[in-house]
Formats: sequence, structure tokens, C-alpha cells
Amino acid sequence: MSEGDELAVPRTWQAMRVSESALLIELGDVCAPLTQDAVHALFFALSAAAPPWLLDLHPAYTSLLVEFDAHVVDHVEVERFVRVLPSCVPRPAARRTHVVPVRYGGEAPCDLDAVAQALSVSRDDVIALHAGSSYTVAFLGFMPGFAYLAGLDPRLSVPRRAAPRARVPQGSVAVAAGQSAVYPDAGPGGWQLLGRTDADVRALSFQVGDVVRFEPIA
Amino acid sequence: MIEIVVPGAHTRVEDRGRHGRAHLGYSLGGAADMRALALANASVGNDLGAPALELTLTGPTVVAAVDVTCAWCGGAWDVLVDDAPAPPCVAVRVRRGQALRAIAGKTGVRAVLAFAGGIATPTTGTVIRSGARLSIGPVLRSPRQGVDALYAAHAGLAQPQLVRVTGGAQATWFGDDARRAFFGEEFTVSADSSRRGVRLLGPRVERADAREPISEGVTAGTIQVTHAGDPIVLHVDQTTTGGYAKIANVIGADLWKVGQLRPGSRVRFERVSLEDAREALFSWHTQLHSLL
Repeated sequence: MSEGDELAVPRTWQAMRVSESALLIELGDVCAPLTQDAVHALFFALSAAAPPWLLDLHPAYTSLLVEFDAHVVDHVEVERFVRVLPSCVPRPAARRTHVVPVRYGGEAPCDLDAVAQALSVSRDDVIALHAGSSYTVAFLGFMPGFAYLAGLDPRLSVPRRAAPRARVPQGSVAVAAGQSAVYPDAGPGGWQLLGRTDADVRALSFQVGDVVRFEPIA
Repeated sequence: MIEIVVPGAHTRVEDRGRHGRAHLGYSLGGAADMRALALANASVGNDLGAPALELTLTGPTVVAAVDVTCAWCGGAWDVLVDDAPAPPCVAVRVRRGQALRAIAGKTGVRAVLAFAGGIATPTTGTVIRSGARLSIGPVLRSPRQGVDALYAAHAGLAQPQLVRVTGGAQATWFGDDARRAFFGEEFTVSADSSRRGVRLLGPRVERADAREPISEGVTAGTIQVTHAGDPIVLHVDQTTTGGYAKIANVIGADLWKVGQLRPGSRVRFERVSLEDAREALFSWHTQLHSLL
């Protein structure tokens, strides 16, 4: 189901009324590709339907938070609307593939050596594993334009740094907790930094479902 | 045109914020106290969400380069036109060359200063520097009377500030003791607070369920509890997803109060039902629309 041009819109989920104007739709309790497809399918289907009461959608690992105009609908009506969404939704035509050039290693702060050491592999192995995978934008959060990228090779699984950095430079390419990301702006962060890109990540404007690949440059 | 002669600590141009971009990682933004924004704008005849000056902790001195009409709303501030006090939620005329000064008082931490026509310079969301000149848009309507009747809620900001909440996504992860502490005791607002979130110090709110939460969507008003047991009230510039356990949500009708929590002041949470939250929201809108 993760391949092809259509996603099945899930029919089984749990809805939690987390505020008078928000419904949290939970699609599973573990981060897994099938759960991510289910989140994306609901996100695309609701975005396409664009009911006038819809204020915001927050896709995440296993859930979709739906913010609605409480003056127009209540939780019951929102749930009913979600239940009768079409059973299939096309992946958005605008879905793109971004190739992000990365200088691996290089200027501090950088954790490439530490990651290689922790995994008992060489620097080149880390670079090959990271640049060898194709990633999907699972969702955006943390800061504007910050995409959580699913698809990291499990051999690159490293935890967050013990202590977060107060300032991670703009364009830092990072891994942690089974995911990868690029910092669109400088900011605090606890992920392990493998390198840096000069690409304007904000301008790339990653969207949920986009494909991202990394290309090593000297 | 107005000129910011003395900027004040965190003076910004803010409006009602923007929905529809959470999936791109953008939070709502907008005024930290949306009630003050609406009432100040209502007073000068603007659309309720028109861009206005948001003042935090210390106020600016603004000189009018042309005659302008302005009004303010917020905590207990003193706003002076030259040396004459301007009452809250009442439109006052500021003549060319006159100075408008805002001085923070004892309650609340923010005020909104609205100008008839709204601030037209596209500086929304940025901190205003000394010497900045901001243009004012075309005036749409004459000032509205009677808005000051709604100022009472701002004037009555007491200590501890009472904020109504509904249960959060992981409320059941907290034991009875933690819930008693959270809903019964007072918290002190940490100095480490901003438009992103207000950190609270007080009784530890410890979880009974040690599960690691999976990051999920959060909004302004979501209250997360850190691993150390300290609550954080997410606010208008929050991140769009959050990975701590969520114990409660500030109701929409009380969200403006989060924007008035001054570091060092005290706050207490009262749990209400979702139905109460809806009623409070409708009641506020009815009040507001009775002015229009």
C-alpha cells in the first residue's frame, strides 16, 4: 500500500476529544510504515475535502490532530465527516523528490566521528548508509520547515545526544531515534549532526509525503 | 505614520495569526492576548484581527507623525498621550507630534495598542527597533463606543490567575496525586517563558504511567509536563507537535490569559467539561459581536 499512486483511507481509528476545537485521531501506537501511510492518507483526504470548518491539520508519527471551528461543528460531526471520506486518496500530484547536497563531516559542530565510533563503522560507511537511503517526509514540526524524515537505514540508529546543543547551525543534516532531518534554521537541537547543506531548506518547502535523498559533495 | 522612539522590551506587530499551515510546521502565531487585540481593534473601529502593537513587560514611546486614533487593552498598564491618561478600550486622538507612552502596571504582562486603520507596514511577528517608522492603513470605520464595558475581565486579572482547562490527551497517565496537585495547587510562572511556552514551577506533577509518549499534534493552550514533572503551557508560537505527556488544554475562551502570565506571578487551573469550554467560547463571541 505504500507504493503506487493511491493510499487507502483508514476506517479504524480512535478519536480523542483533546479540546473543544480539536480532535486527535490515533491510528496506531507504534511508529511503522503502515501507520505512517494511514496518517498520510487521512491527511491527504481531509486536505482534499477541505471542509469550511477545517482550521489546521497536524500529522505526526501515529496520529492526526484536526483543529476545527467550534462555532460551525462539534466533535461528533467531525468524526462523522472523517468516517465518510472516500476510501482511497491519490498521492498529491505535487509530491516531489528533493536531492539535498551534503558536505559530510567538515566544520564543527559535527558528530560524524562520534556516530561512526558508536556504531563501530568507518566515517565512509556512515556517509554511504545515510546517502544510500531514500527518505519520506513523515511530518513537519519542531520549527517551520523542519521535516521528520522516515527511511533511515536501521544500521544508523543512534540515540539523541545526551545533552542538546543550544545552537545547531542552519542546514545541519542530522540523525536520531531512527529518523533524519535537516535544520531549516539555526536553533537548539539534540540530534547527531552528520554534515551540512548549503541548500535553502526553507525554500525547498518540504511537504508531507515528499521524497528526499542526500548527495555527498566534497 | 508613527515613529517608535523608545521600543520597549519586546514590542512587536501582531495580528490574529494564521491557521492552515500547521502541517508545514508553522504555529498559529498572532497576538499572545487575542482578547486584548480584539478589544483594542474594536475600540478604534478596525477589523478585530487587524495588525497592532503588542507590548510585553515594558512599553514603548510612540510619536505620531500624522494625527491618528488609537486605543489600548491589556493588563493594568498606564497609557499616556503626552501626560494625559488614556483609559482602556476607548479611542483617543493623538495629534501629530504628540507622544504616546505605555507603562506596565502590576497585573498582566502585555497590552495591545491599536491604531485606526491598522498597522500597514508588513512587519508582523518581528520585534520593533528604536526609530522604526510604521505606516497606518486607511481608516474603515469610526471608533466603536461601549467596548470598555468588556474590559472588566482584563481589569480583574487577580492573583493567582485562574485558568480553565479541559483534560489533555494523556491526562489518564497521571496518578491521583499528580492530578490533585495540577488541578488543586498554585504554580509560579518561570522567567524562562515566552510566546512559545510558559513554564511553571511548583508541585511536581509526576506520571503514574512511564510509557514514552509518541510526538503528536499540539496547539496553543496544550499543557505538557516534562520528564522532570514541570508543566509547560504551549502558546501562540508553539511547535506544532510535542513529545511530552499532555495533561490538559487551556479552553479557547481563557487562552488570552496565558498571554498575561507575568514571570513570578501565580496561576491555578480549574478543570471544566468540554461542554463548558464550548459554552464559554460561544458566550465570548456573543459578547464580542454585540459590539460590532
